[in-house]
Amino acid sequence: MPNRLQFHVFHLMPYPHIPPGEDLESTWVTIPNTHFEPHVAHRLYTDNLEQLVACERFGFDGIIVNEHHQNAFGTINAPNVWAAYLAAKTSKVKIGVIGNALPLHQNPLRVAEEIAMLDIVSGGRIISGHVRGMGAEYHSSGMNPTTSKDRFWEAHDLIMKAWTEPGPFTWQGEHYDIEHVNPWPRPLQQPHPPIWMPGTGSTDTIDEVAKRRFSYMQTTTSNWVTKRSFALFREICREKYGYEPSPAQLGRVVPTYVAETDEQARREFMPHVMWFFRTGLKIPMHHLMPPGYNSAESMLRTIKGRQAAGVKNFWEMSYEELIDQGYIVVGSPQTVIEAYERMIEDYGLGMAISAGGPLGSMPHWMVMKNLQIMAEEVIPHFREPDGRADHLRLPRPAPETHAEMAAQYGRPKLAPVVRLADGTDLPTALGHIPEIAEGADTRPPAARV
Amino acid sequence: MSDVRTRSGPRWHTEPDRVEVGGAELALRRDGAGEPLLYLHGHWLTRCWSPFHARLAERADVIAPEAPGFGDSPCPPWVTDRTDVVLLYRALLDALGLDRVHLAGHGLGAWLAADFAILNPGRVKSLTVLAPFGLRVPGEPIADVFIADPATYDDLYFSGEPVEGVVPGPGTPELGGPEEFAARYGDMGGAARLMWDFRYDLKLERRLPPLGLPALVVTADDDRVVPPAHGARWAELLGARSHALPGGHAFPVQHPERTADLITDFLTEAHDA
Repeated sequence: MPNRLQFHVFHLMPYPHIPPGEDLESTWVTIPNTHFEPHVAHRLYTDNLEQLVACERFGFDGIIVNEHHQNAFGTINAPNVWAAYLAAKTSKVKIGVIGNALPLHQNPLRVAEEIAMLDIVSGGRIISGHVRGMGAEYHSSGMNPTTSKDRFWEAHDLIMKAWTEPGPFTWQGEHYDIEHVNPWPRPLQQPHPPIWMPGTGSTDTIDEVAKRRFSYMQTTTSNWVTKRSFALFREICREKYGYEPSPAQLGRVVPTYVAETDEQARREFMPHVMWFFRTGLKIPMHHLMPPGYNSAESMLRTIKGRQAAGVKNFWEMSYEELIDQGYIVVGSPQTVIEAYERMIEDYGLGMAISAGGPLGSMPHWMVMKNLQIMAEEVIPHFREPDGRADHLRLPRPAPETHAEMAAQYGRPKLAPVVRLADGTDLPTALGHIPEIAEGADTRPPAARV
Repeated sequence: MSDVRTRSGPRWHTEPDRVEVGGAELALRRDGAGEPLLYLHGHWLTRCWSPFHARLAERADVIAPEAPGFGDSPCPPWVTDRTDVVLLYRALLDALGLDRVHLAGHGLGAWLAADFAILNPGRVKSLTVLAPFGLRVPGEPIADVFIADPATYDDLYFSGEPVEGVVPGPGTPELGGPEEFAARYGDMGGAARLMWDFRYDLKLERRLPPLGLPALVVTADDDRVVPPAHGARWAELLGARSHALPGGHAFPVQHPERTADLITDFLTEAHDA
């Protein structure tokens, strides 16, 4: 039996040493990077990476990094670099890059190649998230927001084809024209690493993810918006695509803090949550929605929907509202367990993301405390009796040792050879053995007539 | 765009005619008599027949289409650059039976007018550019209208002297409600399709001088979107006269009569010449 809930720790790696949101136009695009002190960041980044690495020993299912540019909210510009670091420092935990912002890059094959490299070096532990990039990042990159959605899907399709169909082939698209697509390496997980796509609940996104049988990750929203999104996802899977989604297709970013008692948890979490929502998420509409990033029709629907539902901007919400509406979970282990039980029962949550760990300006010690109590007091409740993450009960995509490799696969299909002047092939693995190399004429073979 | 059309619309809103040309439907407003003047809107001020249009129409046959993706013109997916728009405008002239016209445009519309003249020199009697977008003048970038905070519009567009009810670009929902907000967001998206990738066309430096058309450049003394150096450079490249009016980038709505009269005086002069 699979566990009842997966737990993933998502690190945005914010840079919290900035003025309060009230004094800022935005934490994106225009916030002067003179606030960024590199020596402070050295300490922050190191703490952040240490927290993610620690998740393996605590026993989480996965650790997640993402791509954001030119902001204080999340300072991982190059998530594949961080994933490489994490792959080197861990050996069991899944590593999610959720995700690479496909349209922000000129050549999607770069993503296909880097994820394949990471998948191979990590022994098949990579989850590949594909995202459009925040609207603000179009202001910061010069990329065109009006073609971003089209470029996203074309880039995604190109990456999937590059991973799953033999190369070389020619790609002639609307936005990418590549004569020779033939990436080396190919990913270890077959047919490809798991794909996650985040969304805020829009029907279009949910439909596209359901169609492809990928995992849908609801970004930070309230309980009822999540419930509506998941219901829609299941309905579309069943009625339009004729299958029952697995729980692992329904993930939710739900910042969670657990401590010894409800009161203690609320006190400890409060300032860091409020920094995150009040300052970290301070993104005015003119940064968040560059023209053409959405259609006018979709913009109108969104505004009217938010007004009808009374949805406030993140930075306008109180701590109590965030708790009451289920944007965050905070409390004693029992309270947190009950909150997750309700999410499983109410809307079939399968993956809790940001489930314990860092948020906003939280200091290193508090992150580690949160992780440890989550791991020891909450996670086991949702696990099978062995307490292991699901993927650790499955065979690994690649053997861990040379001996296992040799035992399970024998030798590679082809052995490297040197063709000798007489047309015979000298195996390079044995070419230094005198009896075998004796008399080898290493001049090029005679040209064929 | 039908979803975002409102009953009230922006200030000076009028219902357009709709013309099918070149596989697209263009919203068209036309009034007046005299020399035909194709007037091209910029990244805002669509869906209206303003006092500026009306004043022009007192002395010219003013043909004011809306580009695909702006105002009341839907955007076919294949319209992705300025050339697509220029070719549709040419098809519009064909459909209206107009051989040669005077051209004028504001901001992005001035850039499109210049593109039109470069691609169809035989169809253009004269070229008037108002606070034109399109050039790169080193050290004098045009303001990024796509990221401007609506709270700064009075300053950015009107230099502190706003004209009531005229709000450009994506405002907050409070400025005209969600429908107007979405309509303006749509216009900005239309403009982004045409000028996001490069906010200037370096080719204009080589392509404007050979035009040899009668040309007029009009700027505003306190334009906080297009720096004064741009008007000067356009005048050099076009061999044109340059006039500066008071006001900001919105001078055609701040000073509609003076702006319109400058243009129609020039048309008369160009016609007589």
